[in-house]
Amino acid sequence: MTLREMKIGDRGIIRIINGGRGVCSKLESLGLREGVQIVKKSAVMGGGPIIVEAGTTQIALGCEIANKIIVGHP
Amino acid sequence: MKVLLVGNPNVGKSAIFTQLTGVNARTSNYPGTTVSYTSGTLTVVRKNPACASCSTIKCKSCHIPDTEKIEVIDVPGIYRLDPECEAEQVACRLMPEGDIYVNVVDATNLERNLNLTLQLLEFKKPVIIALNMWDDTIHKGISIDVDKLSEMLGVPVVTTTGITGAGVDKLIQKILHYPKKVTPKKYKNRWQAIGEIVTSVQSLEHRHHTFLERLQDISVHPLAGIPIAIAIIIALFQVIIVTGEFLVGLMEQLFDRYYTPFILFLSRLLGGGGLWHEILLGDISADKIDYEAAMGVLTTGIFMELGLVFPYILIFYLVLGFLEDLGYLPRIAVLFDRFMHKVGLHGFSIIPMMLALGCNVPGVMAIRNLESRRQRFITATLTAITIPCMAQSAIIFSLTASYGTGHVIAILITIMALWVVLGSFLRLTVKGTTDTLIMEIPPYRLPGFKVLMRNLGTRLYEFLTDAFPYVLGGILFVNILTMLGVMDFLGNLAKPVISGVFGLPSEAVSSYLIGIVRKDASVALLEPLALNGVQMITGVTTLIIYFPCMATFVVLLKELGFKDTAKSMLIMVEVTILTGTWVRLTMLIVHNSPWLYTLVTALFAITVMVVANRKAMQKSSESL
Repeated sequence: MTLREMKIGDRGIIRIINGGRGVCSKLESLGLREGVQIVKKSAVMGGGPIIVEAGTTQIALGCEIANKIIVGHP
Repeated sequence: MKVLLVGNPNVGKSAIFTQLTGVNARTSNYPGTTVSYTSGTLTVVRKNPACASCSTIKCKSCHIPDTEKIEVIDVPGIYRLDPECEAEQVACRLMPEGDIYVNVVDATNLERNLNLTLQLLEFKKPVIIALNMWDDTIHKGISIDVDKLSEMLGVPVVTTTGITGAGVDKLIQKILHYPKKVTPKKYKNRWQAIGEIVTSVQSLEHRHHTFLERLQDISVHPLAGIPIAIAIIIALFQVIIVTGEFLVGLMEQLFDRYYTPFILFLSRLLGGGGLWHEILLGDISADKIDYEAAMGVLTTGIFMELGLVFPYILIFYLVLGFLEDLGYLPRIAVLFDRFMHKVGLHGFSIIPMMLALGCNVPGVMAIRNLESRRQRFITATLTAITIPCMAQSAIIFSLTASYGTGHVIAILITIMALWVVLGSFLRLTVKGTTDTLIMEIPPYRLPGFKVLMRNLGTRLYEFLTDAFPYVLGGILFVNILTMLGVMDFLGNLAKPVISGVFGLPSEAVSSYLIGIVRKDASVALLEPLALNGVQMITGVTTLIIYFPCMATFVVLLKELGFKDTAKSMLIMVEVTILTGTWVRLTMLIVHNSPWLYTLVTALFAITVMVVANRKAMQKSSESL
């Protein structure tokens, strides 16, 4: 399941990030990398950004990127 | 000795910097407030053995001049040593220059922050860690074993709270006695190392959601978030306008009571007329002074800045400062991300634009946080062309009030429509890419009163020192040119555009001339021309658009470079003429009804946006 398809309020583990090197390294520096547990906090209506919480940090991701992040059950 | 304050964005480097050096660096609660470096000096008094109380920087009981000056540099926040945007590049270029790195770490975000820390430890430079926001860890139920952390990283760790200054003295001591011998570390698997450190030094305690956290969830709620944001923005503008008007009324009374006698005295001193009377005091009658229309340096010049603009600047920055420190701006950026894509941008661009509502200069400077040239160009161009600064808006409010609400709304809608139309056009024509939004959202923090006041003070001081010389000088300059007949000459020269296209009297040329320097003075110069409603809308909108003030222009040149600034200027000229023509022709068609005009203009803008959106979608599906 992609991060975009995930239900709001659910917990999951990032399995795969299908992004280029640049995107992956930017996500990694914010603490989002494969194997990290996240909670999907919100998804702004009309295809807006998705907000996830990893540890104590909240991060907003445009939905193009959220489509490229595959999430599994914890 | 040079100390660099390095750390992730929004961990409080600027607050620590202000505590160390006394130099006021702007702070807020969103990533990317510091876009270029600020440097200051930390003066340390070496402890005088004879003095019992002297361990702080400012010892009052002894004045032993055994001081040491240490240069401290506040570096823009970075997540890693691999720069992507301009602000990060500034940071990375600075790194080799430091003798000591003070790594400011957000204690409530240890894991993510350590990523940069471990990269810093790979340098052959001494590192001291300031575990900042220490007070927040208590509310959040986070406890960190500081000694163990220091031992595992092999560097000194000090806990600090930048906003209050707690722990800063200890940090200074560590800077003075920094470890001289450094063995650079090498981590094979950085995240694994971080994981080991975090699990052994940090323990989390479960606790209930706080009020602020609930507020956090509501403000980015999938459905309610956007309506709430729109309501908040409208309400805030109401507050700004109502309070601004109230303060202006207060200032008018103060001027009448205390300043008018002085001006009348001066008038008598100057003999009630003559050249200097005309330049300094302008057109005043014996007993009543119309400060807005007199056009003297000491009457309109002083009143305009202190009486009309200052009240609005004060309330605007109070409101903006509160939103910034609370952490609402990044949430607005997230909520309007989708909308900003319609003009070829992503959500973050809304932050420079909101800053520009106060003053265009910091607005344009904030584009450094944007990743691509296309985003920087579109944001800067839209900001410089369509966003009036608060000084200009204040004069517009007071000038147009007598024309009725319809005219004020017409001006507002013209500018917003232009933003949408120009943005849609730029989206289709400017080459390059727009990145997808990836942004950290900081937690809400209740703004501290002292910090709020300090930031407000800095901004007001900047406004006053910037505005007065230019406004007073500008009015002086215009008065002299008018007397010498230069204005008439220029008026005739510019007549084809100003009268022919915009339908304004040729005297309006002085507005456009002074607008190059200051936008508030330029709008105020329309006052004595006794314009009708249509002329007013044309005059005010074209004055907003045709050129940003000189200060903004200089920053544009610096941020965009010569070529892109030239392009931006070319767009400006075209857009000014088109907008002037649009207002005049549409008004002619709707028989000068401002409400019908507003409707037509809004519909036009929406149509353009929809068509452009469809075009852009076609383009992107073709390229796939």
